[in-house]
Amino acid sequence: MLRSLLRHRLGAGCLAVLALVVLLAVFGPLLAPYDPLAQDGTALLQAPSAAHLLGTDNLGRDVLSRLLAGSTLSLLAALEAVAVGLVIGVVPGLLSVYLGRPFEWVTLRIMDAFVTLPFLVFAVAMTALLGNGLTQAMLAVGILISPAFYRVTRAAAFPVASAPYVEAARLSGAPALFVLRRHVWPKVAPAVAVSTASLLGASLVIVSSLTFLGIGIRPPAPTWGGMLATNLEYLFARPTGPLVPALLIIVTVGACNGLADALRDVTGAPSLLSSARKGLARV
Amino acid sequence: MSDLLTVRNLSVHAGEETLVRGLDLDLARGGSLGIVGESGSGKSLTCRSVLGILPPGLTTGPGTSIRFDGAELTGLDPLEWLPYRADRIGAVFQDPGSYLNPSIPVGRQLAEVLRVRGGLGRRAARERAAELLADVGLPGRVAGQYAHELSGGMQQRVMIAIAVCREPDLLIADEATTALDVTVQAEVLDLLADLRERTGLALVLVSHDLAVVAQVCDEVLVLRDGEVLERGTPAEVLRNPRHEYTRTLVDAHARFGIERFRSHV
Repeated sequence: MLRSLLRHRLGAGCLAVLALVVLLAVFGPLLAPYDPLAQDGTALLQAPSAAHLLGTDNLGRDVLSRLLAGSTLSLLAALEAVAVGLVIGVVPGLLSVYLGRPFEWVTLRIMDAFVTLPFLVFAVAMTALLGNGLTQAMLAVGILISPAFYRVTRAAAFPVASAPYVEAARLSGAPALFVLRRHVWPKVAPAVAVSTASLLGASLVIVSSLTFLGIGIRPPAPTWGGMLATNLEYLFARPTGPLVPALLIIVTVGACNGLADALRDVTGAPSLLSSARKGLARV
Repeated sequence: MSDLLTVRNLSVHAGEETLVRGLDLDLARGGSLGIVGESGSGKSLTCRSVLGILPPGLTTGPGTSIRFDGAELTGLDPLEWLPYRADRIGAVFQDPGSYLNPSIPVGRQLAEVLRVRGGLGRRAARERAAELLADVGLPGRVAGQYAHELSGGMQQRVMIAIAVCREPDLLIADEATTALDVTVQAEVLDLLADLRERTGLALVLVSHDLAVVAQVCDEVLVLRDGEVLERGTPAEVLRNPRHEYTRTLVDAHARFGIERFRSHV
């Protein structure tokens, strides 16, 4: 799958962009020329210069260093949200076609209930309940994107689970886990991969919106969304300020969506882009 | 010869409706029995009852007894069914293609059964799978091919190889040759007869085609509307059908079959 993805022009490009972003997130803090929290009262809101490649913010902190440090937090947060969504979406999704009516009914109703919750309000409520932290906020986001995973998994697993060869395997004594792994999962995996990629993009946007609003993050810690917010406040003093964090968000999210498209082309799995768009629209 | 399969008073109900009514059948070890009837006559339900895989909503009646090799099968729970269904009774159905996973080579699917049910190692299973495929007359390359690369006849051979890989005492072939064209049908029937001879397998062959059953079986049941109309050796049933319906079946063959065409030429 990876090989055909690399041969896909869009897929290869998006993978390269994402790899670069991940590298930035992993090694960025080491490369950062300054401490992202260090304030310099003599250099407030400076334009890009040799000393500060991307300038400084309202407290004299180096924007490049903050961006690099913020990548780690933002990406980790998005990954966490997707991981939570994967676990509480895919597992019941697979089991719902396999364990029979009562389980199916209960999980469907729970997922329907999740769908009705608005992202931001739920995230705010969760952080109010569990304490303001990125992990809590991402748990909330993970819970809210799980219905997308649940439905995609179910839709892909449903026709396979009722295929005669699966029924035959089950009736002739193959253990349930074996049947799921061997016969059902390979058919479901491409669809899940596509939705993972596009939901990763969607959660990045959600993370950015949340941190933009100051939810899930304590002020000095840098994130892309948070930097966008502080830069926006000083838009008149430094009009180019929001440009770089915004670009980073756009490029990364775009690469995620492009990757999802490429994955769909390569595997022939159905697209989740439309439902990801719905997710964005709700934010 | 001791009886392998004895069915007494089999009835199958869907709620109020009775789909199979008071069916008896006996099958000796190594014997062969044909079940003939039109669609909806209860042939498949009979087979499914013996395999314990009636469709949801259908149940066997309280007076039903299905004894397999001395053990009563009715009323077993799914776990107790398993050794019978998975190991001692094999089955092949119409439309073999849909019983094969389209994205796994057929040889591996056969090896899988040997590993899961037979407890063979990876390597031993692969070797045994190759032997079994050779036994049903498939060339060695087939093991690495996918179901869609094989013809219907070859797919059915793979299914037969899978069905007999646990060396069952009984093989149920439910319309196993129906979807195949006539020459392939004959080949598969030959294969079934040949397997029977080699391994002492008992065979239940279900078809809507009297001629198919007559070729292979020692005894024939004619079913209609869930009841047995006629039973006897193929020769008896074909030569002097006692029942009106059987007579129509035989006449249809005489009128539209190839024999008539030949005698005119």
